[in-house]
Amino acid sequence: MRIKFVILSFISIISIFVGILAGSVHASIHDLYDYLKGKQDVRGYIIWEVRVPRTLGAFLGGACLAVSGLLLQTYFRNPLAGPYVLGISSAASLAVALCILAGMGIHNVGIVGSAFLGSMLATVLILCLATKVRNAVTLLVAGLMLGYLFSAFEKILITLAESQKVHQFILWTFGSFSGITWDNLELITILGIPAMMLVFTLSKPLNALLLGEEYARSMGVNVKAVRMVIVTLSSFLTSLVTAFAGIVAFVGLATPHMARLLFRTSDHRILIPTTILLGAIVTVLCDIISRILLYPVELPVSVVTSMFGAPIVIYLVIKRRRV
Amino acid sequence: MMLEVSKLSAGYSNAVLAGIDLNVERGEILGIIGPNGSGKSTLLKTISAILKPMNGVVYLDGKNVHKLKPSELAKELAITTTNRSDVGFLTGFEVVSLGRYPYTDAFGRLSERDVEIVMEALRLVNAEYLADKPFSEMSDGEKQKIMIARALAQQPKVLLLDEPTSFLDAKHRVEIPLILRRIANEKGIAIVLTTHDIELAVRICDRIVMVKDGRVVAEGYAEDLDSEIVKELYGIGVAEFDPFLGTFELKGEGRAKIHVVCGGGSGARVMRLLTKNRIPFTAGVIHENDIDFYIAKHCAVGVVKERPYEEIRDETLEDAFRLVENCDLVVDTGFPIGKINARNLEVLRTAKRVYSLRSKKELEKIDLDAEVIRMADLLKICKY
Repeated sequence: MRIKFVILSFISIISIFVGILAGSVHASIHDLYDYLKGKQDVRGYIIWEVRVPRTLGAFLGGACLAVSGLLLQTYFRNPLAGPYVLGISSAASLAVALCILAGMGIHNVGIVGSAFLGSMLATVLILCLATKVRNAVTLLVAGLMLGYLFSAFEKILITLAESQKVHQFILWTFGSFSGITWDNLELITILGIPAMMLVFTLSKPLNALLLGEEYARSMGVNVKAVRMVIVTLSSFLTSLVTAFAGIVAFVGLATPHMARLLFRTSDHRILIPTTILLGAIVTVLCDIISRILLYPVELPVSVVTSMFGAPIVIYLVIKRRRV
Repeated sequence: MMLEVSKLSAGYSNAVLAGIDLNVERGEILGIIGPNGSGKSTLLKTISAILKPMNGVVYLDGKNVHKLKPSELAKELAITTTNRSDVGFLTGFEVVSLGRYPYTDAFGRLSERDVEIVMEALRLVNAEYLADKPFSEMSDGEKQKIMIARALAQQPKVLLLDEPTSFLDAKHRVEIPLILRRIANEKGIAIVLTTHDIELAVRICDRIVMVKDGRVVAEGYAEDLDSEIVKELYGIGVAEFDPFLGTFELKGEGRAKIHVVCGGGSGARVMRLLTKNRIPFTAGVIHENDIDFYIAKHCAVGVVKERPYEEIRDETLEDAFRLVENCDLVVDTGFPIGKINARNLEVLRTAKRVYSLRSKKELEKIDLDAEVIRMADLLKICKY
């Protein structure tokens, strides 16, 4: 088990290096080194100002999404749950749609801000519901319905908007790590890493929740409190990534399954770190593929994550792998 | 008193249960029986504080369970529900060790003592061999054992079990009740279980509470169970519960064309076979303390009985003759012949046609003119 962890960590470091070096501009470690030494170098500049934050952003963002998916899959005891089942993505896109389509501004800060605000509002709404509902299934249905509701409003906006703005909006919903700057990365790090640390403290109640809420309650889990923490953390992590990178599909759904299969365990003390590492690796790799697959055209990252994620989910459903 | 339920009303939006009073002592097994949908599961979930009561109190060792913190209650009371969870890759050992939840540290790490307790729980339910088996690959019976062991790992004083023997194979249907008795006796744990299986409840429970339409309709020692109450509870017309046998017996109906002469248990299989195939029959003479009498009471449409341990009197014999006269054929079940039932041979001799389950040699010895048949032929002959 320890060896697998070491290998995973090693792969994750390699993936970062590949992510930094791969792309439309040929670059080497030397260029980066020269640039950091203060030498004027365009290639070095591209690497340091574009590729490094982008790759690290994909790394952290993938980790956040994956662990958020794990939380919700366990809590809902549903292998098809992902970070977006509670309507976070729909809320974020509605807010972004408002921002872009209603012409409230098309600059980066506006989009990031509105996406984050929208998803946090949805989180608050879900939390209010979470205190009321009796069990997980009810909450899941409520979350899905909220998603439809937000989408409906979003579609009204799309119907009424100019086509050029619609194109811009649609591109945002495909998700991409390309726009991430050092400032963005700083925020993701400061907010995302502590949130992920908090997820570790949930390993014990998450294991108990494998038996369902009723059993968890009977074994001493404060189910309502744990439910609130799970919803808050998973929504927060998802909102954070969605704000900066748009909707990145499938990473949060597929990587927890990969983690379970890799260690053949459902013990969250192992699953949480594994899911974090795998989510990071997978997202960085997908980001690299999105850059080089149709070079020089850059694909949205969701295209790649879906292409790799969907077959995995189909495989899992057919093999009936367990949560 | 270990567990005391007082005037409990519970349910979801409407009250499913009203005014329930119960109590259970240390080491005692209390069975809650009633038809499906009578509120048994709701009752257990409310006692275990999974559901909040609408009214009334549940005391455990004098403490109100609904006022205890979940983590405190989990050390006193454990439950198994009918919920068959999909727990992914967890093994038997890992599922049982989840029961240590209220005792372990923030990351759920097991101490040596915890491991000992988990292994002891597995031993108590005969499931040490399941420790490394993935829970998802176990049979229903094995899963049930593991879930009971998990509950035991909480080291509770009270154990609540919802339908512990439903959906089990024959082996586990016998084994699990024995395990529960062992838990009650060895550990002094008070057990409350629900079941719709009265036959089982009578075998393993000390006391029984019958619930119907959300109310307790009867309670008492398992041995005092009355067949009238059972009839009222389940409303079954075609079968009757016999408290002495502890089983349901089908009720015979119709005009009898067959008379069965039996005794000493020799008639049990014959009578059940006929009743099962809806062939009405009469029976006698049978002594009132004979096991055949308990079965004939339900299965036969008419029984001629004699007082226990007394020789068959003339009046009784007359009654039997009258039944035989009205029949087309008589079955001799091959009962042992002794001093008090010797006159049953006279009953056989008055019959026109007798089919006997005895051997030819035996028939010669008792000088009875009858056709020898085997159990397998009986149905063919009686259906004619």
